[in-house]
Amino acid sequence: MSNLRLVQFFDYLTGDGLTRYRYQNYFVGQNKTYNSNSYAFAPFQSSGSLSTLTGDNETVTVLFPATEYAIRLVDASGGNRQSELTLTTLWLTAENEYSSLQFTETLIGIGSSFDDTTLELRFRTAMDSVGANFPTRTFNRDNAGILPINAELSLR
Amino acid sequence: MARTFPSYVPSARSFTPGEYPVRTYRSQSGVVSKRIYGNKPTNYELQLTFANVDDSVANDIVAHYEDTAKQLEGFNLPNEVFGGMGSGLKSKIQAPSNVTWSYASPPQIKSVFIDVSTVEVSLIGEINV
Repeated sequence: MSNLRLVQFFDYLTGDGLTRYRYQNYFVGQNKTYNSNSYAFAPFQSSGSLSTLTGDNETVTVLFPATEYAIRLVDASGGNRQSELTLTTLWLTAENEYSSLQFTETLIGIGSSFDDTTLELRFRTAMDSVGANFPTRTFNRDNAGILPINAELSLR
Repeated sequence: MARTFPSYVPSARSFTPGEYPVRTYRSQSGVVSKRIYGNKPTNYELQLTFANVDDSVANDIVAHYEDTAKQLEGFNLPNEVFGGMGSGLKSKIQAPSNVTWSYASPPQIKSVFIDVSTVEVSLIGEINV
């Protein structure tokens, strides 16, 4: 039988580079130290592809319950745009000690959505930087001027 | 935290310990892999029966249910609920680490005689951080 015990460390820097949030999702109600930093408990889960052969632009989602601290994450980062996430997955021993097996992925925030129970943060891999626009930009008033209120866009 | 459960000794108790959050993957070869998602058990269950009690007891329990249900908060269980139980087992049930008790369903009340009822209470203990 093979058993898995994984903890994920969520190290999030807001888009303005001013605020950092650190959470872990395994040790319930505890603060855990990893790489000399303290991570509070938060019941999040991540899903999506973390790496591909071509290294391109895969979407990773991190789900939080829509609680006050999770909404603050989105608020502080303009809807999770251009934030930076370092997500470390670490294998634990049967005694819940850290093992040497781990991997770390650096991701860039591309947006978020939430409903009455769940908050979803969306990220893409930092390999997105090989694209023309770094980091990925969302179509908004800042880069397009005043936007129409209907779908009739005229490209000139 | 909402107010403590009413201090009455039940005539019957049934307890199920919590489970760890584990997902099992079973391959077509029959090999089983398990993944655990947290280091604390949750979903403790406790059923209490207060048989043939005065209606004032039933009224207290219903009032407690109404108070706690609208607050969406857990509550403590007083020592009286564990009357006659050994201290080691009692400590495992009364206050598991990070667990708060709440109603799994509304209390069930059966009238058995004038001003006498039997009350069935179903509680669930869940992690609340």
